[in-house]
Amino acid sequence: MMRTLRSALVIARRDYIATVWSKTFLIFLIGPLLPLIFGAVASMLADGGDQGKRRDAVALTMPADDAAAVMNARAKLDDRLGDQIPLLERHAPAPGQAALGGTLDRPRLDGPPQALHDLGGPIGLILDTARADRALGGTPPAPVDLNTAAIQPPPDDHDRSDVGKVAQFILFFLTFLIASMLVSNLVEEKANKIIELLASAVPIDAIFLGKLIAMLGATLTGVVVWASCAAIGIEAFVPAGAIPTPAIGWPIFLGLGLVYFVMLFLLWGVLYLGVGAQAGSAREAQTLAMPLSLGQALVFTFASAQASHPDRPIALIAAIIPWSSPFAMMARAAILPALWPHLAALALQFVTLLIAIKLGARLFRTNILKTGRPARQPNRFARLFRR
Amino acid sequence: MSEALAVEAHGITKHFDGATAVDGVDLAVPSGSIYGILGPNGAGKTTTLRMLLGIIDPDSGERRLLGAASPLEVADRVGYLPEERGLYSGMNPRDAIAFMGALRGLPLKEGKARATKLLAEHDLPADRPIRTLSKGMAQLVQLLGTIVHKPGLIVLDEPFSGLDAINQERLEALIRDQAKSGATILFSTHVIAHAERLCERIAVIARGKIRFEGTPEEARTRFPSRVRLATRHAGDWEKALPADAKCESGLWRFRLPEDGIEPLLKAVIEADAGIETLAIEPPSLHEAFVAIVGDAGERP
Repeated sequence: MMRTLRSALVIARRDYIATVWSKTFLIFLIGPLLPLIFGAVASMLADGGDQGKRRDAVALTMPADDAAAVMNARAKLDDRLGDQIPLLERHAPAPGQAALGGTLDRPRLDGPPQALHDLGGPIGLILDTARADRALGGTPPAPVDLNTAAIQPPPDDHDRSDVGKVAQFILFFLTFLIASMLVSNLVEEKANKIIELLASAVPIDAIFLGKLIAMLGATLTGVVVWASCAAIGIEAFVPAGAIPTPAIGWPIFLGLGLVYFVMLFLLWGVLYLGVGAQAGSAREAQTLAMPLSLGQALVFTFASAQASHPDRPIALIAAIIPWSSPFAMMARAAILPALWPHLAALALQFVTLLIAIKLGARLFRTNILKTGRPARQPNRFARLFRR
Repeated sequence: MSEALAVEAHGITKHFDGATAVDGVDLAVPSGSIYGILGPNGAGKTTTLRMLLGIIDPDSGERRLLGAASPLEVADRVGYLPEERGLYSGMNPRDAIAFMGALRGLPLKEGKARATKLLAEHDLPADRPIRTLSKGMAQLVQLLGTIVHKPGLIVLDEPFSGLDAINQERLEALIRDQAKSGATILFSTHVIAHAERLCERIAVIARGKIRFEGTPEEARTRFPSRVRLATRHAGDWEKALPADAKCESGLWRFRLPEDGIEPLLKAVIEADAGIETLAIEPPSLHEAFVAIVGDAGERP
């Protein structure tokens, strides 16, 4: 076991360096960032365009006289500043809507943090104008502070399931993205005719493990880069509290996300490596990998079908099948706080992974170095289960 | 099984989809020797070596490498140069050699130090990407990677193929050096001259079976000497020539008859044919090889 691990690390180290120091990896890194960059640019452009649009209405809950003064002041400012001035509507605030209450001398603005951030200035201007109008001819009023209070409505299951769905998609996207890299890596190995050298020196399991570890390392490097960019993007563009907290809590949710990603990567990676071992060229590998990619997409669709209802039969089945389990369990973590189902799911995934690596390595071994005529399918499977 | 043998095989057999690639091969390679496996293309040499090294398992039979039943147990003491040469084209020679050593348990740092020394000794660049090297240089780099961890057993599959005459000589010298330092060398080839110059023992394999095992001298003496005879005059004495005699440009060639050459010589002398050339030569290893493989019904 120690020898296998040692050998796997030697192979992983070489593969990791070769992968990360390649131009392809730079493209791999930039690839997923492009949608984010385009999104950010589009968002900024949209913000620019939105300068001319009216903002969401603010509920006005002040006493009638004060409210009338505020409405008048707003109308005056609207002539001059136009769409910079928010709409004011006299009614009770809807959930998540900002509300201007109190009195003209002791105003109070309640609402979501981002709304307070955006509206504080214009509302202050309206209030100052209203008080100035009221004191017409008298002493100009001293400015008063606008009391604000951030109100974050508690996330409901629907909001949380959105978090789960996003997490599922990220898992799918990442594993889908690297699958082709795994296959092409192995094909390159065969094309370089290095595989026989490796097979004579180390156990086949170690080659398998090494390649998986290397690609996992390369992908985690990518994840670190992407996560950093995403964090910067969220900090810059997403209002605080706009993303609902998962039921299991952010730290555990993110930790589980990482572990599930690793398991998902390894489980699918074994399949892709097994396929890669059968291919003799990049084109053949692509052809062979296509059904797997399709299967991966189907499994994702299946697992995300009941993301909002983790206790329904389909979601439970998806949670049990190791290749869909990480998707289903991430959705579960978003909605339900219990930790033990995750430990059970991870144990099942781990055991399946060990078996898959063993079988994959055997399939790899029976095909990758064979001379003579190509193997017939029945013999492949017979050999796979021999011993 | 004896530990005086670096490699042992008893009846190892391998089938590929009904075709028998290797059929009951027995081998005994003494420790510290240079041993050649000779055979025509497709004879089963590579499959035999792969089974001995544990790259593939035999369907039946037993093998033992450096005393171990499982070849991977002693992989750190074995060096292997496959027939299909392969190196990572983006790597430089030093890293490639160190990597090959690391696969066999040599610490990477030590591997790099040894690689630098070996490359300097062979006038090879250490830092250029392998894709910029000539084929011969790349092959030499791979060979250095095969020996960087100082293995006790070096297995080379067709090591001379693709090398020019100068590099072949360098490789022969390197093999001799390794043998002098105590390593056992087992190599396969279909070029008999290398085996003749290097090997203490050989095995000739054809159609998956060992057809001969012994020293090159034993292979040669297993077959009768060849006779070359040229005379000034033809005549009735030619009736005394053996049945296999063939004449090309007045020169007769035939195997030395079992009852000797004296009856023929008597006929030539009595006919006063005038002997111009008479030579009795033991067969070369190449001729012995051709004869052995030909007897097996295979074209070398």
